[in-house]
Amino acid sequence: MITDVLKLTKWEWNKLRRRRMPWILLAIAIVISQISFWGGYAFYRSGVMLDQASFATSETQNGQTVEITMTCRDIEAGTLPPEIENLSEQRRGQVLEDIARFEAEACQTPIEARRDLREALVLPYSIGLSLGLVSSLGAILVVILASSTIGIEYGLGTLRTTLAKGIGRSQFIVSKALLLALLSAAALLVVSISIAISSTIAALTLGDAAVAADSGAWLEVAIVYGKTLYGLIPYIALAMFFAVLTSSSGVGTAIVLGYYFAERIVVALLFNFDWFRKVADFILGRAVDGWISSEGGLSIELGASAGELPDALHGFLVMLGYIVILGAFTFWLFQRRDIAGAKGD
Amino acid sequence: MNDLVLQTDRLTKRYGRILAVDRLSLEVPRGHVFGLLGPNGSGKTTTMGMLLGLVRPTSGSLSLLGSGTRHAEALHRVGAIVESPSFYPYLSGRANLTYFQGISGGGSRREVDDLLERVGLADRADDRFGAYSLGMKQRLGLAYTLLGDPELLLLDEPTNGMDPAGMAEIRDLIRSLGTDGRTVLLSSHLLYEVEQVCDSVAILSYGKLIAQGAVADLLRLEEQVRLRTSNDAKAVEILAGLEWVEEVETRDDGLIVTVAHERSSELTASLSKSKVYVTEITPLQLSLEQYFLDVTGEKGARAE
Repeated sequence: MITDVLKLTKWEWNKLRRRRMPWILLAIAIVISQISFWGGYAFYRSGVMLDQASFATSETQNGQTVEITMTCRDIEAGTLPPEIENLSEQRRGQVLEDIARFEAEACQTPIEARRDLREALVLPYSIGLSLGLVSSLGAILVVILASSTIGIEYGLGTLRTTLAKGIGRSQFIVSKALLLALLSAAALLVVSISIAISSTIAALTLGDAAVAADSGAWLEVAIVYGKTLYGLIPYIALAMFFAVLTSSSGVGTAIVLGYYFAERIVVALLFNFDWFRKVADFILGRAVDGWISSEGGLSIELGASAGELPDALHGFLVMLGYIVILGAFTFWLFQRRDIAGAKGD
Repeated sequence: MNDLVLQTDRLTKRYGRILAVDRLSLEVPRGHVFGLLGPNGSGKTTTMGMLLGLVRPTSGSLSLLGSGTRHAEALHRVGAIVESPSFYPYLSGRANLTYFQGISGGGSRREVDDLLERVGLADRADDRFGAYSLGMKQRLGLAYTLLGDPELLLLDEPTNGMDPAGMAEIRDLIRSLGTDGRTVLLSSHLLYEVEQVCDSVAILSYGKLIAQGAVADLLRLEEQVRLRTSNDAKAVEILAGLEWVEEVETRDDGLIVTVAHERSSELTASLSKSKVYVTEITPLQLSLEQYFLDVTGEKGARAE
């Protein structure tokens, strides 16, 4: 059985790779991850986050008014305005105290954030950051891929042609699921490699070492990779279930994507109700967000879920529940259903 | 029983209130080209679907190649195409065959090339399936069924959409497949096709089996003879009074009498008793079409 499934999976890939759709989806994932990486790079280079707060004072020295202004950018650079040299020693001391207060109150956070951003642009943190950012997009792409991979067999009528060759139904559906999981893993790997290349280029322009010295960071990135991948599996299960239920690629995709976005809207609207909070953590999107956002040093605020997210273990178990239940229903439905001819979808 | 490659026992499929196949019991002997004949909606494709495990029977049982319960294993020795051939439009004909060869146990590139040659698609083998005409799709479907050299072929309307020359070519091919030890179950609504190609036939109407047997035997069940007599008017009167004569029709060239095959020889004696003498008696060959229209007209009542 395992050998048969692996063989069928290999042939499924051999067939799927000749379609344009998976390559387009991969290109979208790469482009979006690159945009997010280089967007972060541009944001860092611009330093706009350091210009949001400013220090300004006006002093009268020898009958002349001296304007002294500073931003956090000057603080980070360690430069003082030259006008400060024209002040008396006493006034200079007072102004320096004011600047120190400004630094503590207004500049510490943006300077630290900028330092974190700079670190996130260097390998291997850059990979973790990008994977986290593309995880939501990945769910959408994987839904499209899964629905299409199953639905096309109904639409073209090739499911009949395949099963008539003596391919077992369980073998068929398991090989599809395995292929989708492997493709998701491979796509995340390709995205990671593309980010690694960009990160190396960025490091050169920033004058940093291309790779952070912290060897433990690679393990963290590997964990983020695994978590992101696991976060996609429930969406594969959901898409496969609806593709089999509706025997259609288009309808299956529409239902799952509709659910994906509606779920977030409903959570945002109803989260203020106590009764809803009790069930909200069992909703797939929140479970996935809870699972993915608990990435320690590489944590990412997804901003898609209201309130405090469930913890990682809760998220893991809820996702596992979805995978098992949806997988079982899909399997059962696929075994029982009569297989009709081409639907033209 | 060992020489039966396909057997169904009261096979039934019901879709809600519609009875698509009604207690169908079929027996298909090895090495025959067996026709499943019936008008559209008679249950042929549903029957094919049940044989291939694509459609779950409501009740009854079936056995493929003596499979018993190991139906899935038996399917590896079956080549089948149900309804219009469905392949991947973005793959070439050759890539489609290679894919199905690969998933069903493998084989050589040579096998694919030979099959493409055999069905007359060698020149267009590398074109995308989506660009094929319906006739070419049917040819590819036939090549697909022959992958792995199966013992049993189930072909559902295999000449659908072909031009007359292509139809003749494919019929010859099907005929030849039946003579080299394979069994072919050919589903068709084309009487001419079944009559030309098949050794045996089962006729379905509204999901029910209404006749089954060798084509030659079925056509011999009823026979028409043309009679010329010394007194046609009196002969009509006499023959109409005989309960074993089904029908008497007067034509310009004589009387056309429909009678059971085994009793046609008694016609002369019955007429001569009344001093009507037969001057000429000619057996007329009943076509399958006439037979089909007769049996479906008389017995093809809807099951519900």
